[in-house]
Amino acid sequence: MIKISNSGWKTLALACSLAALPQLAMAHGPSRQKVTETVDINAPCAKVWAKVGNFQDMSWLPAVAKTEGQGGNEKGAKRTLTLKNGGVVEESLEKYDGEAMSLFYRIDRVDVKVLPVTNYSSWLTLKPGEAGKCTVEWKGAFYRGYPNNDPPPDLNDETAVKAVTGLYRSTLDALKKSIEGGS
Amino acid sequence: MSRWKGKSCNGSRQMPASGSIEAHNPSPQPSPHGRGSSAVPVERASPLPWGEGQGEGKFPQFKTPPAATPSRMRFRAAAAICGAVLFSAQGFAGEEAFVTCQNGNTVAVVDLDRMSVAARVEIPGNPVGIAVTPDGTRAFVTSSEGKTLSVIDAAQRKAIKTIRLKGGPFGVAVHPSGSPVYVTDWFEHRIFVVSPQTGNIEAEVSVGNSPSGIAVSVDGATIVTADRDSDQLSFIDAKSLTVRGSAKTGSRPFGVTIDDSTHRVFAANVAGNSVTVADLGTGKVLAEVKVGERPYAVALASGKAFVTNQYAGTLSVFDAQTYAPLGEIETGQYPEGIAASGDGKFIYVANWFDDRFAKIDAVSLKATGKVDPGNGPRAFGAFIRKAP
Repeated sequence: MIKISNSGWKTLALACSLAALPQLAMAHGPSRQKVTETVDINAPCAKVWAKVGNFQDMSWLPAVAKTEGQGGNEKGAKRTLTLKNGGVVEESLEKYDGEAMSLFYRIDRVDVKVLPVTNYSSWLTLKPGEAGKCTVEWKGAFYRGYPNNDPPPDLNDETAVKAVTGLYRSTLDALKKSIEGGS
Repeated sequence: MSRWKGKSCNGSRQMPASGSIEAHNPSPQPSPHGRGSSAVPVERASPLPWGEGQGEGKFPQFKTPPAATPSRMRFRAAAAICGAVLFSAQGFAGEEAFVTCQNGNTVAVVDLDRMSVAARVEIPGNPVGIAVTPDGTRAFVTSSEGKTLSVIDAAQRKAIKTIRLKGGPFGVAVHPSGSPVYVTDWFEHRIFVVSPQTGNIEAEVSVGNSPSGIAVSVDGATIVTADRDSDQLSFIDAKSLTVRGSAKTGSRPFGVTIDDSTHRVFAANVAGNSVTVADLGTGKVLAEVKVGERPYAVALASGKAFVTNQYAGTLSVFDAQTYAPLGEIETGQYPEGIAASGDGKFIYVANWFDDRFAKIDAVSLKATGKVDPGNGPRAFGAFIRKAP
């Protein structure tokens, strides 16, 4: 597991200070990567879901300055995240199940300088545990930032996995702290 | 020709070799399923323009014998085979799936009766494409990052040879005789023709951009690739290794499946949310069928087409003849590789994201079993091994 002390997004921005690549529509590498990170929170899932279950509010991700969107929590809903460092991420909601407390969304547009991935999609799932605890699972599916063969190190599979892992880890840890801290 | 209806016991690529070429030969009569646009052209030999103005000119001569008037004897043989297949309780027991787990660097051998993992074969380099020989002795696996083709002895559950390729080996299909093996190169827009015996690349054939899925007709005459970034199918003559022509698809075709019984090709268009159906012989596009979000591949069974929708997490089901929608089945997260059992009664799906390999009843459309095969199952290709 990669421990990242500061904001995941900030790390990404550093890791990805590279020449802009032409964004070939939909082209991607041959192996989709997968990252799964979880956190156990000492609070009921209903309370956690109240914080993370609104697709139109991504304020629980520390690097996000603003969420704007439309369509609520319906399939096909859109949101645009503006990051504190100025980066912009456009996302859409693919599946939403309030009862099961899970949602599936994808990134429609992001610069590889902001997040070194392409064709990113993600599941967020809450699983009730014992004694009123809740496990949050965040899973990402994505291809590396470089769509062609023999990628440069800063856009290869390993970099992509490291970036997403760092993002998930830091965000989930912050979520735990925030909820258990009473906010 | 209603008497031929009985012979179409299975339309999918996983038809066991015992189904015989005879049972799949084109008939000059109207399609046994002949309704609407799916009817097979009456005169196979007459030159027709290649579909959509994409091709190299003329409609190729069909390679298989025309079988102008199928003899009663041949019909009986086909009927007998179908009868045996359909009514023998043991007919398709003992099938296995060879499931590439791209993130786990393994191929899981799944016992499809028990839905349990019988063995795991380590294959490095992100294994993705799979092709099991019709006789069930070998499984060929592409590793996209390792740039290799691995040869697995299916009975021994062991990799017996690793063939170094180049570019980005992706989709794989094998000639019905077991050799050669055809591999798409995701990056260099070609296919490799590989001898599994010598391990040599015997030839390369240029196709469209980022060829992904690949399939070979049951008579071994035609190779079809889905050229993802050219929005087309390429039709390759297997004997001369020349591209006969192409067919325009929806946006970004990926998995490609041949229905030998009706000489049609089904390609899933990942960005078009549709399936393009084209004639195997002429390349003529017969239909573009709407399916769910981000379709990956198609399997055919019980007269239906089943399509994995990666983003929707479902299978779209439609009538393989009329193209009428028949429903959508929840299957798991990121369903990808899909194939039918030899008897067409079951559909098997690799769900990449939640590591679930699922079994679905092709008639009731209900899930009947699942197993965790390993990390990131893709099973891209003809992954079912018939009973030894």
